[in-house]
Amino acid sequence: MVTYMKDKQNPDMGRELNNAGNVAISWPSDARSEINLIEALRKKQAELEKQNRELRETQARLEESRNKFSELYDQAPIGYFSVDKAGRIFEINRTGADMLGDSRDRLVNEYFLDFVAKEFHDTYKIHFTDACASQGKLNCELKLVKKDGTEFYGYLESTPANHPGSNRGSSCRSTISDITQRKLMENALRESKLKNLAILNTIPDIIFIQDKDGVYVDYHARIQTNPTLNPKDFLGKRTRDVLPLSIAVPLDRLLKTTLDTGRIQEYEYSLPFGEYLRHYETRMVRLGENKVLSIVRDITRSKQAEKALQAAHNMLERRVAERTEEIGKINIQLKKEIKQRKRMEKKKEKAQQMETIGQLASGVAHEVRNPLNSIQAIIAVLNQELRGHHEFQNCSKHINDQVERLSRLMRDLLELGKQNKKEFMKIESIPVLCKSAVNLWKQAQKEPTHHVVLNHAERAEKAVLMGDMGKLQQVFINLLDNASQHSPEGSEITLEILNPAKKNIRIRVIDRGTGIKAENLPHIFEPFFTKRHTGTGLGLSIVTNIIENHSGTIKVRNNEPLPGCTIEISLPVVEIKK
Amino acid sequence: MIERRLLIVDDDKTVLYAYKRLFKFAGVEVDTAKSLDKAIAAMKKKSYRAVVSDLNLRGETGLEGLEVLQTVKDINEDTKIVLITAYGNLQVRERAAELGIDYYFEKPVPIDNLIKILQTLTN
Repeated sequence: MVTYMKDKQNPDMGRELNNAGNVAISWPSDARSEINLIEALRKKQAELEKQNRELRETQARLEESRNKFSELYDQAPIGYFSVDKAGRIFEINRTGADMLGDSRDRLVNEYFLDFVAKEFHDTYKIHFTDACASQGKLNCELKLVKKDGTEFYGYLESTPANHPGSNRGSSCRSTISDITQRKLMENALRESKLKNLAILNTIPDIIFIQDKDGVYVDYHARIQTNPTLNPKDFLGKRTRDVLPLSIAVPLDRLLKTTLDTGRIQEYEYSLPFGEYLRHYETRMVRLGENKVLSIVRDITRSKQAEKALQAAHNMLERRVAERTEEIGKINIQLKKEIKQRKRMEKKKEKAQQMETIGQLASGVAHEVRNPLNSIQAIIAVLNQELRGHHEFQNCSKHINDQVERLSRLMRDLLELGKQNKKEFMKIESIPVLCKSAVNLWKQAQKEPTHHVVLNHAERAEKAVLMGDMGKLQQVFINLLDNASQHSPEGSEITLEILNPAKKNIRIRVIDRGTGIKAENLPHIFEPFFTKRHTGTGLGLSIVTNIIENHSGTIKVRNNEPLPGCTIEISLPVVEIKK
Repeated sequence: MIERRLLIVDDDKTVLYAYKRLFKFAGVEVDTAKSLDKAIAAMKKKSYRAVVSDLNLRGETGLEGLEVLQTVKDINEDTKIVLITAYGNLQVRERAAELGIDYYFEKPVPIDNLIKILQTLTN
């Protein structure tokens, strides 16, 4: 329809406007010159050409714009596609095509359902139907299958759309995003959560969560093992409000330490539970910035077991100690016995040694005695033959002295070898024995050189022993000899009989001589140890032999204070006559 | 009557030599024998006032002296017997005492004593 209107600038001209309101034509209202018409036409042409140009520019711009949008559409980070009412894809962008794993051309007219995992078919069908029918956007999550069979998760947002040539509401435009990553993480998280829950549910311990002030904000406990635990009793309350101070105070301290250090704190405590005392063990750990999680375990049973074990252990230790003591005593006893046995063995050994030596000594003595006898006999003959010869007499005396010396040595050697003869054993009073010995010794001295004193203690008067008197006399004679040879002329030698003990009696021979060097003391009873000119060196050995044959002992020590030394003999007494 | 004759029995020839000379000085006649057999032979030939014998004559037992003395007793009860020995064995002494010896000396024998005893025994 053409509309006319007065040209405001040129009221003489009319304008013909088309539908768009653009000037179509304008011609002069009166028939002026044809030139004006041509002018007007030329103007028109110029205008039209300008419009053309503008149109073309606009078209170009449109084209450009379209291309831009097309690109944006195609390369969007999500897939765009449209599905017709039959479920066929009629439009899909590059991203979407890539997601489905095929080219756009091939995808068009494919059924979208072919790309949905079987278990999600129903989900999609419902989603599609709802989306087509709805007013706004609908979404769903699906598992999709690419062309090559790879599976992925997609998030669909669909709106109803116009399909050219179809009814409104029977097609659907959707965006599809790949949510595989998210889905996988979600699954993992859910599995993890399930696992944690399972673990939590098997723990018989109670788990508390407290804030930095000690207020219980959460907890977890298996109902079966903690039927009486009522969250009302503690949730929202502080430690001090729930537990006795003696426990709450250290627990709060522990809480603070846990928060400060971040290290796990442990604590044991006991609470009355009905009529029993139960023992608990708590472990606190920092949770986040300002919360603490504690796991409380009932250790009553293990504590009891611990106590029982300790008691058993103590008893065992006691038993062991007792047994050890027993064994110790037995051991001491055994040691004593062993010592004793060893002593006996040693004694036996020594006795055997003495016997062997004795036999050897006897043998030697006997063999030597024969030639000695011959020598003496010949000397006697010579004496007779050379009676007047002065010098010979001197020589012969010397020879005799030497022979005498050898004789004495042989006699002592034989003495060493002798054992006790039972026949000579008899009972004798000790003071009597000593007295007779002293007398014998005095008689044997050419002149009295020493002053011998015989003392006996009160109860020694009645002491009696069993022995070979001859031999025992020999003992004291030898000891007196020894004493006199070691002490200065005129000094005193004491023979002292001490008070008898239950089983033995001690007799001492005390001289006031030079004493004996400490290193020599243990050796003086050995044969040939003391090298005196006049003696045979066997005097004290013979004494030892006789004393030991009488089951006695002999000891020597230097006097304190000096001078001199004391030889002490101990002999078994038979009885003390009353 | 038995002559004042003495028999000395000892296996040691020094002893025999010495005693013979010693007793000769004392005016006693002395015969010597150095083994049991020789002693027995001698005693069968002559009679002696006294016999002095060593115990060990190096025979088998070392106690031949006892046998000598036994033989002496068997032959003539009146003959005196003196035993000399290097050994101071109690058993020997006991045995000798049983036999009834008149004296007993341990070697080395003090010569003066020996002479004295013999003089006493043979007078």
